[in-house]
Amino acid sequence: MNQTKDQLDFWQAETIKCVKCGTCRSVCPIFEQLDHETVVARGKISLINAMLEGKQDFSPRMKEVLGLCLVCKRCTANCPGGVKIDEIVTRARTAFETKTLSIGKRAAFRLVRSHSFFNTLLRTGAKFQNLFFRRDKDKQGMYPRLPVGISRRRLLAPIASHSFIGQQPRRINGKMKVAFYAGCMINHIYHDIGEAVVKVLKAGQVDVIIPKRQVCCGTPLSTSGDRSSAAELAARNIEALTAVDVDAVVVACASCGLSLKKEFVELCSEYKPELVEKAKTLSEKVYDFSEFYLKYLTDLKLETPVNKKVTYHDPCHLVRGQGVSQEPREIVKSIPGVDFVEAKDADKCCGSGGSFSLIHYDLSTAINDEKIANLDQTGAEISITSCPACKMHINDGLARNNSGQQAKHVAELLAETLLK
Amino acid sequence: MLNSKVLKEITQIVGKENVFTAPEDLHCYAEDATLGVISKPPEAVVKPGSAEEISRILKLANKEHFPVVPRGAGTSLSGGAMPLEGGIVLETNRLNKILEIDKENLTAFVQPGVITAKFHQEVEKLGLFFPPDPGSMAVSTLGGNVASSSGGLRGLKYGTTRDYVLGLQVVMPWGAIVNIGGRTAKNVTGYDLTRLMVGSEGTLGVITEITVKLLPLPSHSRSMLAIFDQLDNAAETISAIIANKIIPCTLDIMDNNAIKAIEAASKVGLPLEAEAILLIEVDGSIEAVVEDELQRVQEICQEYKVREVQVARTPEEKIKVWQARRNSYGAFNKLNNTDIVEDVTVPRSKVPDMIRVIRDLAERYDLTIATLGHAGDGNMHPNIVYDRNNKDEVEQVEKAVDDMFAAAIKMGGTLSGEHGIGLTKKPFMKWEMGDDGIEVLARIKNALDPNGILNPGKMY
Ligand SMILES: Cc1cc2nc3c(=O)[nH]c(=O)nc-3n(C[C@H](O)[C@H](O)[C@H](O)COP(=O)(O)OP(=O)(O)OC[C@H]3O[C@@H](n4cnc5c(N)ncnc54)[C@H](O)[C@@H]3O)c2cc1C
Repeated sequence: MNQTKDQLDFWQAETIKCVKCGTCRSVCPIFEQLDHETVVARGKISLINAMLEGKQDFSPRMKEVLGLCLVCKRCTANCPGGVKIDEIVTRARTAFETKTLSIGKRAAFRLVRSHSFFNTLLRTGAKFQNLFFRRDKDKQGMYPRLPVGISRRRLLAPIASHSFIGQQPRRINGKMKVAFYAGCMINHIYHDIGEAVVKVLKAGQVDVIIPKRQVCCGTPLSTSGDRSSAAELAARNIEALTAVDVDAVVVACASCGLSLKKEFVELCSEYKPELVEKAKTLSEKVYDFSEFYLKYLTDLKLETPVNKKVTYHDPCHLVRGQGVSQEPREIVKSIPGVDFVEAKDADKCCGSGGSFSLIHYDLSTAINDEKIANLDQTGAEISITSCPACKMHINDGLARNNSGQQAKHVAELLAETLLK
Repeated sequence: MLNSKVLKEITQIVGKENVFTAPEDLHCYAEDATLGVISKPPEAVVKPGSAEEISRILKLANKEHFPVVPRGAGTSLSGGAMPLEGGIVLETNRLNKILEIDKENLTAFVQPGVITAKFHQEVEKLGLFFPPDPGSMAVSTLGGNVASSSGGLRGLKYGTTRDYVLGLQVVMPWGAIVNIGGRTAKNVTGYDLTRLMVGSEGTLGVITEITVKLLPLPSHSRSMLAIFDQLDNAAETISAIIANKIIPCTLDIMDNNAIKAIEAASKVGLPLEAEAILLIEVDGSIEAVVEDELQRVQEICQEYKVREVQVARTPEEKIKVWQARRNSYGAFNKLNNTDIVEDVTVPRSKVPDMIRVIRDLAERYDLTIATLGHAGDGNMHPNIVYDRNNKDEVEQVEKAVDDMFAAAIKMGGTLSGEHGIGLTKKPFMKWEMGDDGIEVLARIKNALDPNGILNPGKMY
């Protein structure tokens, strides 16, 4: 592992805290599918401990085992010993950082590394996307036509032809000043979520700034072990978001929110100690969209009723990453006409896990099918969530299972109820 | 021992996808939940899909002389599921079906890989009750429970797994598939082989089907925490409750070290300065009787100078505390890097004495011991928390364990109430059973498994 000795000692001590009680076997979505000791946290932690003691090689099987984690944090949240399992696993992945990644993943990472390139490429990509992807029959999304290292059956949302940030005016005037951090998925795929967020904030007389120099939050990099690159992105974001004079930074993606609130501080303390203080100042201002709304915008008049049955899916990085679960539910329940129903295992991962779903399509699909069954069973017409990645993965599953349900971001539902 | 020819034959029996030989997999299947013992990897992990496949594997094992270690969820706390001499770990997780829940006869018929808590959920949906509830029930298997004759929090009133097994299908070490016991409430045909297999810790046969007895689910239950300033008062309360002819379904104790560790891990609002807390639950199907018992238990607590009694008002309040209790094993490890949980059990009336012995041992050997226990049935779980890298401390731990076992046996107690002997308590078996007792075990084992292929090196 490409880390200092102190850090290695720290993580080794952390692995020893695992008492092997096996509680993780009752909560891990991957274990539920594979039912195999090696892939559950108890097995992984024992192997990582052996790796840190120099008794376990960086073998292909080891790499595969470490890859079999959605970083959904369920094991960590339920671990009686309080072992930081997800952090140990993602850090162990760092050991494989320099080894060859599968093509799809490596290409995706190169895109993230150079942000302006990502922008250009995705924009050109949008023009040519029909060459590479075929639309599904309902035009909700598209399937890859060419093997690009990711599964060809994966339904991807169409890539927008302009970036969201590029399209928006830099400043929208109002009372309070807020910076909106869009994140890659909103910026390049789900403009509608971004527009909904801005619409709601504007309706609340909030002055919205969309800093142009914001870049990817780095989650796909840090979770796969490339923490140094993630730290580079963190630094750029910290600069971009602290350069503007705002009261708050609003995020509408669970993983981005977790990065801004917690990961940046940790990445900086490891790789950019000079930025730790700035990262902390920033983190104190960051709100998930639902938190911000409940704190400042509840006086908004929700005029148009949504006469529908609605359920809610907790994104892993919001419920366990940030401890936010009641806020979005409260919002949904406050919308006139909504009949809210809780789904079984609402806080269980949808199977997306970022690039996990690209590499392990079948496993991710099996986990997703269970999620879809639980959402469908509520009889709801709309599944609300707070993360664009979950929205994409759930819509993929809904389409595959021919469900009539539709997944939306909580901001979209709110925007619909505001008078046009 | 497992040459490639044998491995090929095993693969032909169970299919390629059910045999694992990568070092990483072998590493993970070398361990169960037991800490402080050195693990040795098996040579293969095998996941059979039927009793027939298991039978063919055991026949092969007898021909080729390789060890077979049955494994459920690997939560054994005595090293029961750890392979010592290579060979294969035989995991039962593919045999995970509830075959039938018979409401008319109050029985259920299950495969060994069914998860204990999932089985509870299914029978409770039908208003039925399977009482054995080991702390590990969210992950443990019924096969593992039967093979270890596991107990749990409700053992005081309802007994342990042993009391619920009516019949079994077992693959014998030589490969015969036999059905023992039956599906009836009464059965005296032949030797009581069912009882022989229950608690046999994977050394006499592989359990492939289990018939259990069920009870009607009690419709009422009330639970409370009784907080004491004096450990002795808590201990006396336990004896007094039983002496007053009240049998709560749970009567658990935690001492101050346990309280602190559990509170730190779970934040359920336990008073940190209390010397001891009793967790008490009474249940039954007549509300008035349950309420009356609750009242009387409270009075007894008052008599023994309880500081405060907190009765749970909602099921959520109860679940929170019980969950924290179940998660205690991990919580103790926050105190140091190794926790061994002992399982000494004494006659109920000796609980106060045993608690005092444990406290004295902690002092004499300068150790951190956090004690929990199903005190109502005399089953204590002293958790000795220590630094496994400190040689001196390890020695002190060993001495304390020796003394603890000796004291328990002297009081008419036993080494293990529910966790089993396995590997870790094997050296002490002689103290309790004597040479002749051990010989009975050995003769049974040799008669059934002359080649010693099933879970060798365990129990005695
Ligand atoms: C946190 C925690 C709390 C616990 N609390 C309790 C408790 O309250 N009460 C209690 O009694 N125990 C408790 N235990 C111990 C343990 O969980 C039990 O012994 C449990 O029954 C083991 O089940 P398992 O499926 O994990 O079996 P394993 O650990 O896999 O195996 C246990 C033994 O059974 C044998 N075995 C497993 N399946 C079969 C089979 N099909 N045929 C033949 N032999 C088989 C194995 O060879 C081994 O010897 C606890 C353990 C932990 C980690």
